[in-house]
Amino acid sequence: MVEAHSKIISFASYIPENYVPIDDFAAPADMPSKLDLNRITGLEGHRRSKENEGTLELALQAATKCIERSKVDVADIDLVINCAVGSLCSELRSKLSPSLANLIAEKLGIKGAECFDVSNACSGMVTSLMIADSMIKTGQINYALIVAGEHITALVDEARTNNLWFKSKALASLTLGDGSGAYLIGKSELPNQLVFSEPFTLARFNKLCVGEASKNRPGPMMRTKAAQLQQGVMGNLGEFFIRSMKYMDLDWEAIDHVYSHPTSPRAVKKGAGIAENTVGKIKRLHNESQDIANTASTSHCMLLEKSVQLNQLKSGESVILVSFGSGVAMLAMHFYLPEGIEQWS
Amino acid sequence: MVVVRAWKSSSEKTTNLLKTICNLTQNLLSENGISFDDIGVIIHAGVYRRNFRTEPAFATHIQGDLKLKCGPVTQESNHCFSFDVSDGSCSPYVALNVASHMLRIKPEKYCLITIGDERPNKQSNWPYQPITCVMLVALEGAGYQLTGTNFDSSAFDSSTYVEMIFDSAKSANVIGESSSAAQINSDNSKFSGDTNWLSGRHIHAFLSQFTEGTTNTHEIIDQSGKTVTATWV
Repeated sequence: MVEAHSKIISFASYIPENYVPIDDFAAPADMPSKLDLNRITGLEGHRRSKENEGTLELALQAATKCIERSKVDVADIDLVINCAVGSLCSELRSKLSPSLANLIAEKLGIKGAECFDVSNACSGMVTSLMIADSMIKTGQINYALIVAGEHITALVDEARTNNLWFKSKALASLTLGDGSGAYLIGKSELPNQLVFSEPFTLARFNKLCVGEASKNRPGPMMRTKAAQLQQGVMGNLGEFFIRSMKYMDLDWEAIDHVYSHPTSPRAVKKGAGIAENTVGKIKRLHNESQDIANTASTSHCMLLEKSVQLNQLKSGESVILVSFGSGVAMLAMHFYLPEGIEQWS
Repeated sequence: MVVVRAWKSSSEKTTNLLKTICNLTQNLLSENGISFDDIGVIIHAGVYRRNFRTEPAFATHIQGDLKLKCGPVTQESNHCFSFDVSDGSCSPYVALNVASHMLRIKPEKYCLITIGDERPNKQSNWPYQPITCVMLVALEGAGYQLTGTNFDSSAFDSSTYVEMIFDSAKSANVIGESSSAAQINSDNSKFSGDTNWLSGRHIHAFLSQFTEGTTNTHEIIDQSGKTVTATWV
């Protein structure tokens, strides 16, 4: 079989306007031992969706902007994957069956596309892009929309109902924020415009971050052993970087833009130190999640959108997304920025 | 597309889906003389998880409990990749389609597909009799060969979503009431189960009646009206 090539045609995020400073939801005075979450994580605040915005509405905002930027006709999109961690509506109900991707496609007027959900925690987006990329390369489809809306400040609210002295595993929930992201990918004339590392799941860490229904209130909760989880990732990161660069046949120091899943700005800085010690200097690290927080599967796209708004990206420059998700999944994606990105509004 | 090299199912009432899947997988591998080292990907397809868990992926729990390639990353280490897919009752065919790609991305011999559901909590109504199914899937070899799938959303009715809702009287999140899309008639040339079956039951029933040496067509009609038609030889 002769394989086609693929590329990122467009991406977009919806960054909710409503900025909430960290002192409004995690002030030291309200924390056990007056814990200063800003000092520990580097986080200054998060974004909160509007009252009527849930996973679906957030996803539609990003997807609509992404499709507009791509100039692809919705009739030509033949795959829609939703990869949000949950599918929570604004009233804290969750859609379970069938996949939310069907409803996203219907609302966008996409007819006849294959639709399904992928669940791989914060790595769901890169996992889905990898699947869609293969579908394009093997000729099964022409265009794929990968989308997620993360309505996860509900987890912040849940954490705040607990006595955090006794439920310290709820603390990591305070580092989350709302947002959404979407990518549109399609065929490319050129090879290697979109490549992925070998994906790994380090399943011995699979109990360190768990999201499920709250016990006695509407919606979800998340419990995390944050220090152990970070240790698990950091302990494998150097080898992961070396191996991934070889696998993707890339020179780390030649990559123009590096984006890591931002569990927190301080954690990203620590990870960047490991990268510099193992694979070389980073040209430009985008670690500006201090005012958007960790938005789960959409986090890379949210940071990319911030870079677009700050005119930091140019057509043809190279980007790597380094992805981690509870489980623990580790994978990376390298791509070239689409033509015309300088004109995106 | 892909070949189901071996499969196994359990219709016993399960109180622990993870344990059932791990036992089925261990028996399947041992009966077929297959090594765990030959599995590079685990894909779980299902809708209902204990306490409506959303992360991590259920497949990571399967990988962890099977102790499948869980060691640290080195330049020589061998790893597995695990994640979940879902689309109501059509989930098995999403998993099989995705497996055909994952076997190219991570070219080890087999992808393990697990299909199953469990009652999220005792407060939720549970009218289902789920069947848990595990399949070892490869790109080639002897077995049940899936040659094509066609997903059709033309009758999809978005008012039929099954949701997790909060029941104040029970003080718990539970499975909400839901309706079914208008009835879609299946023609007799296809094997088709009941729209109220969960996905494990669909694939178990189909593979149990599979006739070798001829084309077998399987249709799953989801409660939402979405359908998938698959052809096998």
